[in-house]
Amino acid sequence: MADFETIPEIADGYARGAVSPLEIVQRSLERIRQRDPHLSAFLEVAETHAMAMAAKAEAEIRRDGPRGPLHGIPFALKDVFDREGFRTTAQSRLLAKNVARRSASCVARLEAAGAIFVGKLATHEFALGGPAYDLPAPPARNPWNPAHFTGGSSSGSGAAVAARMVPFALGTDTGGSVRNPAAACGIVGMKPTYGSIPVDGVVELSRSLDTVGPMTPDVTGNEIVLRVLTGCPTDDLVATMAPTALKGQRIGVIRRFYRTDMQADPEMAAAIEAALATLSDHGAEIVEVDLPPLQEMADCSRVILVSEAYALHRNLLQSRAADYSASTRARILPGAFIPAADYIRARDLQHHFKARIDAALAEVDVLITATNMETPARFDEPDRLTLQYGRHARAPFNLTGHPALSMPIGFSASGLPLAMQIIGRHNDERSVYRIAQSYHRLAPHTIAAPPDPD
Amino acid sequence: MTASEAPEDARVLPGCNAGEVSQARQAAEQLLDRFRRIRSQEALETIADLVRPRDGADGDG
Repeated sequence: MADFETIPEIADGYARGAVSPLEIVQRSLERIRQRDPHLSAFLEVAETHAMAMAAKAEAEIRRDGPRGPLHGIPFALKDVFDREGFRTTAQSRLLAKNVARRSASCVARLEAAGAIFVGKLATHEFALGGPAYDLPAPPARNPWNPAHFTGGSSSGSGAAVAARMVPFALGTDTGGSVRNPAAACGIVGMKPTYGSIPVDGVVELSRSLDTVGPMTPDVTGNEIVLRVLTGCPTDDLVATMAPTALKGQRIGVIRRFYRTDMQADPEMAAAIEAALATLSDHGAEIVEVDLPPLQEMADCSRVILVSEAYALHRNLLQSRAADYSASTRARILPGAFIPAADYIRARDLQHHFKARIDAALAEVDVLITATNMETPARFDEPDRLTLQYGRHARAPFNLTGHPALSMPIGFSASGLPLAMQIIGRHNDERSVYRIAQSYHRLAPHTIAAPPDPD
Repeated sequence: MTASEAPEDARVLPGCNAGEVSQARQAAEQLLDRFRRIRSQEALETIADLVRPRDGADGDG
């Protein structure tokens, strides 16, 4: 079954009768059994539930055919999403016994479309704390090299999809937490327009920034999941576009983010330039755009994030601080020292920066820049791991709410994934997917699965 | 005012050691130091902007 790795491949297999939901879910569960002991991506596997749902989907498909592209497709959830009857722990002792009484709306939409819940995935504590060893479960490991970090906070989602344990997973992105593991694990991760997917039933981190996002091995599967999450039809996908779709597309590159404001690792910068050259060689027009400094937008976003996160956790920090991971406390506590006037100014500046990016996108179809400045660090390099926490270009688009996708563009000399970020106008995810799909068609070797861990 | 004397520190201190709180305060101060230097047209702080009528009506006192 080597060909049935992505949502479109599996859906096509179901439609042709070449493979069945029971076979696909059994394979998913077997891969979890074999691979997850090396990767620690899963916190809980819903084996009995998944097999029952697979049998149900199989009977439905046999009787009536698939009702959509997600019918019978297994998926997993970052453990901040409520799924009725299962624990939502946010990888924290504070929620160790928390069982969801109802599913998050976004999860309910996936299951209404026939997708099959398989389990809960590792996350940083409360989607913020960073890889930590003082939590109930260890941090997830990178399938490309388990000595390396996955990126976070949707760390288990990145690992599970990259290792092909599931064809898709959901993550959340408040400061880059879908795009970071997507980049680090060599998969596609979309942070859609802020507010486009309901967040009820999702553990809150920062209400002005929190966004749900799909994570997949491929672009088309990602678009399918997003359409279902946003209640849109799943026909007329960018995968059906003509191969000449790049001609006339204007792409604005934000070089200052990874050349001057921060310096990306030379391999990463070179890979981004090579990707831009590929797009240009096939008809896209590349123009350089100027935006406010990366650090300004990152700092503005950070003021909002830590203020809102601290406000959420203030009472628990006073009574149960010791039950948090030390790294979570370190990231939340600064919010206690942000005056209200600065928070309000940050919210005002949020509109200002959005207007600046809107103005840039009025002249081009999409923007492209780096996701991260380098490949993920090793776990035994804690100083480098800490330094990497701030070395990225993800936060501006959390601040402004623009849709932003990370996709793989090659591999470093040491075999770790390299990535770029594509940004679109509000509610114009289609233009983002158009460029992503065009690049994927031109560079199919960049989307690959890591070797099985021994 | 030292970290241990600040009222907010006393409120967040239970369960957090003084070193953690001090580091958190320093991190916040470093962030605010950079953030407050952001200049934008919308952040003009002249008196005229502060008293500008918000509904477009003439203000004469």
